[in-house]
Amino acid sequence: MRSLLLSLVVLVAVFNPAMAGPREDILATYATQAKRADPAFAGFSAKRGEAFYLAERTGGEWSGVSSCTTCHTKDPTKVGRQPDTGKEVDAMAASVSSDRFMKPERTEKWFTRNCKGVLGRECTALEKGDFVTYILSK
Amino acid sequence: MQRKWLLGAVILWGGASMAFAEEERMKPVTDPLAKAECSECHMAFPAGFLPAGSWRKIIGDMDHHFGHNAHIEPDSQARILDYYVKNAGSGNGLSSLNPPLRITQLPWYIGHHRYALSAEAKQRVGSLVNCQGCHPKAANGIFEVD
Repeated sequence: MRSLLLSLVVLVAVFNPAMAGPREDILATYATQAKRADPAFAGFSAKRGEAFYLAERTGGEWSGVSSCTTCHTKDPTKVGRQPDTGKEVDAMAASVSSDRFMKPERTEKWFTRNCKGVLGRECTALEKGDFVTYILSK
Repeated sequence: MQRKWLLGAVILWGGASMAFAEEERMKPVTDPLAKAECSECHMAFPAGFLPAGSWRKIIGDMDHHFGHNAHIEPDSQARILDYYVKNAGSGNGLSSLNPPLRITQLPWYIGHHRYALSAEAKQRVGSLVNCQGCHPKAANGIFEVD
């Protein structure tokens, strides 16, 4: 009986999609920050994330890069390209590139670089959470 | 007699091109941290391509990296710079007061890349910085073209 219970617990842990993994941890951190910035925060939205991803920007530090899509293409499941170096950029979508959003420090490094580069400022926790939610939905 | 001459010329030519091919190598980046960080955006360029003064200027200011903010956390930056300085090229014939910042502007580079690329190749490679576009084994330090 006890071992049956134990295997049930293990099964639930393995198959429960809400189980905390690195991606859930990253989203939880952004959610905490978003809530702190705005107590009315009511969760991330893939739809807002998509609009953010596709938006054309001005004011970024990088000339010639005016949107997330400049390097990542309009379809996150497609391979992109860094325009200055010609290097291929792995598809953003986690369904294609399994290592996306698996390390919080790497995720933060790229948000810091790219938000300054494309938007000319740091992104808010809400924007980051929406972005990750959108990409993970692809 | 004529045939012998021809054979000799072919052997000489073969030997010369082999020697040439052997020269088209440069020790690739061996430091795992340097390799991982640099190759996020482009091939990790071999340290031997530029003298130490160049690397100090380039890696010392990653927040302004050829028009991009490529900020690296200071500890990693210091370790990568240390690797590049220790493995840097001699810089013979290059200004030490004003060290070059672009490999693509070095005289030997220009000399080796003086042939115009076709429109198709330009489109495929995208940028001069994309060594592997034409040199598939560049990341292993092998630059001769098959």
